[in-house]
Amino acid sequence: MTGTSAQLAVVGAGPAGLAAAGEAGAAGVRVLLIEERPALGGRAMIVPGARGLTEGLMRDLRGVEVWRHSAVWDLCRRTLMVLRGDRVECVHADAVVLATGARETMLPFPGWTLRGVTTLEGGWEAVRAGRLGAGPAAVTGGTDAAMLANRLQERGVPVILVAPERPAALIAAVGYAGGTLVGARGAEDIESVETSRGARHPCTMLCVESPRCPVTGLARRAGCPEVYEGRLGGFVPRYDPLLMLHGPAPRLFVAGDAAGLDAPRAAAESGRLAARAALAALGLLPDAEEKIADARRRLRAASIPLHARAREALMAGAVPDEVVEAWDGDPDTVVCPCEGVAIADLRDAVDEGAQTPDDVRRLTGCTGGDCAGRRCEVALLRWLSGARAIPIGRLAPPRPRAPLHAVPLSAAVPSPATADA
Amino acid sequence: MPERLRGNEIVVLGAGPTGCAIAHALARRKLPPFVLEHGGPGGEVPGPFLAGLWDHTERASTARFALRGAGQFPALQDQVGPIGYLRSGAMVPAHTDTEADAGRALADVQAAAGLPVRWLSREEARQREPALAPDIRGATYSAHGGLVDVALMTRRLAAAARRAGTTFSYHAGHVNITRQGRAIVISAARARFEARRLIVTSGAWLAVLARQLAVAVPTRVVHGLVIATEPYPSLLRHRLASICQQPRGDILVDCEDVRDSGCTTVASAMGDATAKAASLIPAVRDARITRAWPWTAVLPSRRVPLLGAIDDGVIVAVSHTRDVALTPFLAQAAALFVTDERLPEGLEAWVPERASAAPLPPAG
Repeated sequence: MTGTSAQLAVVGAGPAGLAAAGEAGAAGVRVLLIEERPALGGRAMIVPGARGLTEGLMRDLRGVEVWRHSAVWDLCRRTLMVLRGDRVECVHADAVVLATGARETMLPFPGWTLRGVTTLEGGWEAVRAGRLGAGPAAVTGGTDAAMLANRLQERGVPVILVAPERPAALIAAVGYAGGTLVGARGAEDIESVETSRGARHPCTMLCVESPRCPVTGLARRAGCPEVYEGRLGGFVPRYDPLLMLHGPAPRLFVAGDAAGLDAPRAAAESGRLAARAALAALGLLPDAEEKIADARRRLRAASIPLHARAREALMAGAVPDEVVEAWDGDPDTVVCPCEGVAIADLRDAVDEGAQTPDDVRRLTGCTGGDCAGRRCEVALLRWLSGARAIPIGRLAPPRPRAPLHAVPLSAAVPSPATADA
Repeated sequence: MPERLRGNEIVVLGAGPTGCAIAHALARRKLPPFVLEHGGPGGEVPGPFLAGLWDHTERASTARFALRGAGQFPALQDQVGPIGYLRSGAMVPAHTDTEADAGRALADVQAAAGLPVRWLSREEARQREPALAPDIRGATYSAHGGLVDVALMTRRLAAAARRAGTTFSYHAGHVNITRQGRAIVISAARARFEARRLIVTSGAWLAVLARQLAVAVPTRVVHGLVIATEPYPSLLRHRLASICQQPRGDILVDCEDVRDSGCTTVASAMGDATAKAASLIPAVRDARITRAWPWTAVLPSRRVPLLGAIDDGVIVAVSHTRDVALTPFLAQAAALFVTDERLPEGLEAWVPERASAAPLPPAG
């Protein structure tokens, strides 16, 4: 394990992270930008809509040290544990901006764990990488799903869109099936989809439009409390008007979709605001008050109004009390694919007295598997909220456990205690 | 002649392995108690996975009772359903000549005390466990060591106790204990009991209630981390010290005295665990760590379990170790003590010192 230091570490190189790094780099600060994927830009480079904005931000990284293909697997105070290639690096930063974005998270339905079943993001990723089979594809969802269906059809993949109504945006060549998706069938790979109208359509890929949820694992590991706000995509870390996180460590900021879903331009503006707030906290920003006020105005202007209002209410200390609609479904449907936990197992755990997500994890292993809860945490929280008929925001998300990403044994060589002691 | 008790006059504090085993033992005697737990079902058990059963390096005076307990696991499995029990055998390999000398001496001491423990040479050890590194110096070995899923065992015990009439109350909140005449009054956030017997089953409760119970048993808090790799092809036949392979292939390393309080601590624990695992089992050098379960245990500071009364009707039954081998034996002994006010022979050293300070305060 080797150690590195930076004045500002930015985690995630989507619009928010790029803007934060660019802003701080331009101010002459030593910035380290850490991105998990091999390429910069995040989701914006895969899903259409914000490519121009993101490419512009990527050109503006003067003075920024960039680590690609580097996964941050733990955060404590302002020390980041990074798996860079096959080495573990320990980064000590004076300030940290978390811009980890949001993740489209599928909710379980019969057959959702079959190979070939993915989200719209997964579909776009397959388009980008050219990993498209010849077989027919099924897509389900609204306008965004129609856009993906159109693109797949243009790439020569026969597509059928499953939706209650045919979206106006759907091109004529794409097939359409009415109703909603009720399940996917197949042995290991998906072979067909079933609709609520009893129709069955063969396919080798299914892309399901799913809710996007802020990625908050690192903030949670750092001990920052979270609050649930459905309009912002679910649980988000608590932060103040400067996007500084509440929690044990000062100078920890959050930006972009990780702080709550919003327009890509707003993500970039919140990155700028977080960078300016971080620089101000480090005493490195002349005319700080004015520049921060300017960044806040620009964020407000770029935001979707509903999201801006929700965010401002949270910053003012509001605690929304949303009850998630009871969702139960087929008892055999697997919720946690890593540990093989089905709805029936969750029900057993609750019948045995489990109340919190941690209780359920202790009994069933749900959210404790190899993916660190990425695939099932949202489903567990929603199910538990419905099953116990309590607002989802009153459930504490499961206590996060390191490592947030798999770390090769060979990388985790013993080390003398470092600055965190 | 001991007085006749009813189940609803008994309150068990703690729904971990010991608490649930005692509730189960009492329920089988037609005395289903109330069980109060500070946390959720399972108590402080970190998660569902196989953990070590019967530590053959334990002092012979307690290891002998633990062995008796370990012998009851097949019968327990028949009673409550599958609990992941596996009599895999266990080795504690020695890396250095000093460790080998200590291992040989330990095997002699344990064997002299009649325990099924012996020393294996390097060749013997590697013949039994081919994955072991060629440079180990040998290993202590017992065929009686094994594995058990502690979370599942606790769950099954609770379910069996519940079927026999036991009531569990989780997330109990703050608990206050006073006395009213001969009754022990237990007040929790959502419940109030007047009991004639109160059984404290965990070090955590002992620590919380030390002042209220005027108990003179020091406890210590131990933090640890169970580190897991991704599934690996079948590699290990035995449990190797604190390393074992799960049925689906992941290799678990249980590290004691590590606190999940910061990333560098976790990182260095992972590094240490890794170094240990890789030096013992060269084949795992390339595996990836995917998970770590932090755990906390509050254990009595002494090296034997606690079992006996510390005040009129207040009974302590707390294990001194995380190894659940002793649990069935401890639970039956505790149930016997509740009904007959006597202990099995040979447990004199387990009896806690009676409170020297004032007894339970009167209710008021």
